[in-house]
Amino acid sequence: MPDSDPSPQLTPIPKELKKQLAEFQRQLWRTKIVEAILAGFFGLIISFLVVFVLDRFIATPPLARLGILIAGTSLFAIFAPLMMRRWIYGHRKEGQLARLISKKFPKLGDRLLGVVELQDQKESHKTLSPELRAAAMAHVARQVGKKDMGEALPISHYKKLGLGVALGALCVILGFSFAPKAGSNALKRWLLPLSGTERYTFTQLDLSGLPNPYTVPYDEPFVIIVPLKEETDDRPAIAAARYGLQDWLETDLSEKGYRFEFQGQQSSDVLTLRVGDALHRIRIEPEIRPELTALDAKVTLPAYLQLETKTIDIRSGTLSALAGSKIELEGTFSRDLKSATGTVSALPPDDEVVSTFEEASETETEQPAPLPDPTPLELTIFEDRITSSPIELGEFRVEIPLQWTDVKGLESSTSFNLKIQTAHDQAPLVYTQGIERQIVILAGETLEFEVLTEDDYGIQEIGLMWQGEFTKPTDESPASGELLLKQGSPSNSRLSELAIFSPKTHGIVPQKLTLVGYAQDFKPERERSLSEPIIIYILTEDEHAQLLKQRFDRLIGELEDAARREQNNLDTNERLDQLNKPEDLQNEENKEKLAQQEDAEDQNAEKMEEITKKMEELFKDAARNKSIEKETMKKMADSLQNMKELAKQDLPEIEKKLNESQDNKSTPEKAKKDLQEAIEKQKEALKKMQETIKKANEANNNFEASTFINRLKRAASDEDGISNKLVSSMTGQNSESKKAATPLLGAAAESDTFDPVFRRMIEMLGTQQRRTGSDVNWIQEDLANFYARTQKEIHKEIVDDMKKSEISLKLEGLQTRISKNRSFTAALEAKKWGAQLREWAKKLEGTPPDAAGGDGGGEGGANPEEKDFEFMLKVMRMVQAEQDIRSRTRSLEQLMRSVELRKAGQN
Amino acid sequence: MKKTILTSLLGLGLMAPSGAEESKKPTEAAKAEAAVKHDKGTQKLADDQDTVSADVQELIDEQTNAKVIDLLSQVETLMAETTDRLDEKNTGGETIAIQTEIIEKIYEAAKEKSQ
Repeated sequence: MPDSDPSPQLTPIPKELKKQLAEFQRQLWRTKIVEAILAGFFGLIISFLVVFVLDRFIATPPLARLGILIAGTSLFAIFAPLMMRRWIYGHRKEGQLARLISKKFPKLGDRLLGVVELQDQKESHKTLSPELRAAAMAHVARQVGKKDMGEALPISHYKKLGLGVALGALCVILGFSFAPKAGSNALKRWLLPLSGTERYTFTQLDLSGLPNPYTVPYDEPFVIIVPLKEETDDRPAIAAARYGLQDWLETDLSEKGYRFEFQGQQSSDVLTLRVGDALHRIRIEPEIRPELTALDAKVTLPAYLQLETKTIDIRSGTLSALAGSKIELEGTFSRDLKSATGTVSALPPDDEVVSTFEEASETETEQPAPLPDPTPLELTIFEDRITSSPIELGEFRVEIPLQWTDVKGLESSTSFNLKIQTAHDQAPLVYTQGIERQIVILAGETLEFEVLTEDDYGIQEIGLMWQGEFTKPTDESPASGELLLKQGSPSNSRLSELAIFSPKTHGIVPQKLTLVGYAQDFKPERERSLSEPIIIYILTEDEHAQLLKQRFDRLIGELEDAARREQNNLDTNERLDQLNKPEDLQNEENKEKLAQQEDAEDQNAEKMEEITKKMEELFKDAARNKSIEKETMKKMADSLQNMKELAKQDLPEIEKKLNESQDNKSTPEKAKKDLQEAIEKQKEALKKMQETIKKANEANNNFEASTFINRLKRAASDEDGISNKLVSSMTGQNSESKKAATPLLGAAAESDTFDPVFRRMIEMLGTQQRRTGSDVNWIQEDLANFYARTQKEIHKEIVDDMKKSEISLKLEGLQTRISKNRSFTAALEAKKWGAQLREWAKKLEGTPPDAAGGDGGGEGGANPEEKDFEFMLKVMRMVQAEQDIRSRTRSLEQLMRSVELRKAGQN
Repeated sequence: MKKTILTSLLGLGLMAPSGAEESKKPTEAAKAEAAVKHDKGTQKLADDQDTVSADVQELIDEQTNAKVIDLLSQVETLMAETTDRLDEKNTGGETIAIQTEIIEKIYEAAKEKSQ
């Protein structure tokens, strides 16, 4: 049968029951929510406390802190939502609540569940009774009403959790109260585990001076000082440290902190530092200190030297550079540098060696200049190299201590102390070579010698300078001049040139000449350096002839000595020859005498050779002087030939025979024969010597005769000189008279107003007149002696003339006039006596030297030998003349080049 | 040492510093003076060379040996050439070379004569 009522009828849960279930649900939710929150807080507090506690003992690693944080927050983040899901979402319906209640009260729970299901049952009036369902629900509601539903709630932990949170919070509060810095540090490290926040320790060490890793010198003891920070809360009295696994070192707290002294280390390791609650580990790396591997100085010399910049290796630590130079340092090191410093300090000068008294006195009076203050040296670092700013080198020597630190913080082992000595541009050293310091020449001769110079830098030029000086009164000006020999260059530190100096080329008349070589370097305002002076006496032919005569006199004296020695040797040999028996010649005593005789002969031969050489020189010089007659030259040549034969042939043969006479193998007869032969040869040699002396004396007499002419001429020239000087002074034509304030003429020499210039001149002329008077006296006396020896009439005539003229007396009077400044009459008289002396010279000159009793023989009667000699003499003089011309040509060429060099130098 | 010499020379008035300074940069006049000195010197040398040439002529006249005469004649010719060159103020290397040749030839003549 079909259902007549299609709409179902629902029966709701009684209100009382519903209310009870809702209350149950509210209690359940509240309890579980509180539990979830407390559990979350508990986790956070515990994880923070873990970090806080751990940090008090170790520096909790970031990952560990992260793990702890995650674990702590997971209660909140994971566990709480799960609880919510289970207890809130899982118990939102009456049925779910009924099932929870059934766990505690199964019957009641089942009934409640039945009621919940009944209310949702859908049936019609025909099948079910709604009144019955309502009665059943009311019944269950009454039963539930009798029960305390709170008992059906699950076991709650919120009290324990609350207690735990409270205790944890108390711990946190206590931690923050007693160690707020540690608490806040732990909170920061807990909240931000990866932030790198340093662990807070009560002992706060200042490790800013200890980089990690820290480099120390290789195998050298090192010190680590660890100071405490200002804000440290704890100051432990003792700290400990150890290198790797080596023993712990303990040290006390000092004012600066904790000082640890470690032995030298060769390998890297970790240094553990424990001070109070602070624990640090620092990696230590032993490294060899940075070294200077190269140091160069770029020296820019003063501009005037015109030299390029030089690079000098100065690893030795010393440098010598010229004052005024600019020096740049360039250094290379074994490692890249972090910093480098240097200070330029001037040092007082070394004790200089004072070479002359003048310099010594100068230095004594000079006040030493104050030393400049030290200045820091600007250094530019580029990786492992440094360059300095230019150092301007002054008068003082300089010291530059260099120090450097590499990028690892290692300093140089020792300071590199660079010393720069200040050198000064020395004046060139100039000298001459190939010429004696004093020399006598004729005006036509030419000197050839070398001028050499050395300098520390460049030489600009070398040359010659000369200054003449007349030794007798004359109205001529002394010679003065110079000649440029060679131009140098900034790079020429040595320069040399052959100097060809001919007085004639430069118009220099006979006088005393001081010649010096000069050199000029490039230093501005420096005077020329000069060589040792060469004194050149430029002679007239008559002066030269007189000089030769003196040499000839000495040479004849030596020849006579040689002859005397030979005579003595001969006498001794003859005594040996007079022994009774030839056998006696071979006994020891006589053999020794023979040996002595041989030595004596050897010595005489050597002496003769020496005399021959001197004679050759004399002959050569005489050939140069045209005033010497050819007859004189012929006799000199003959003497020279004899001397050569004696030295090379005769005397050595005697020596040889004497040697043979001592031969032990010889019979007594043979020995005697050898001795006799030696004696014979010796006699011949002695004869030749005497002939040589005779010829030499004859030549010397001719020389003497010809020198009378020269001596008279020279005396005449002296008188002319005195006269000319007086005349030029009277007329105001010479330099002295121009300097004088009052005229010479008419002034009394004794007067106080007599001008000092003239006083000096008058004294000088008086002295000269006295010398000339003395010379004339000697000429007169020598002529008388010469006549006595040679009996040449012409000489007697001159002597008589001189006596008659009373020249000696008159010249004395002339000297007195000069001394009294009777200038005019003295000049006239000097002129007169000059003319007289010249006339006597002319008279002698007109007569050939041999005319009165000489060997005679004009050219017409000359034998072939004499003709040959004459030819040779002419040829010799011709060669000398041509050589002189050639030398003078060279000298002129040098003069011309000197002008061209100067032009080139100026351009 | 050098300073002492310099000082002593200055003291003697031999090396006047002012003069030395002036001489470092000679004036045109100084150069002209040197040129004049050169001209006069060459003229004098030419005269001297001519005089020696006359001596050679004299010597030739005295000789009988043809070879010696020939050599001395060559010397005379060379001397004439040298005289001309010196007249032209030529003191260069060629002139000096000719003078050297003259000396050699004279020696040769002397050697020939002595044989």
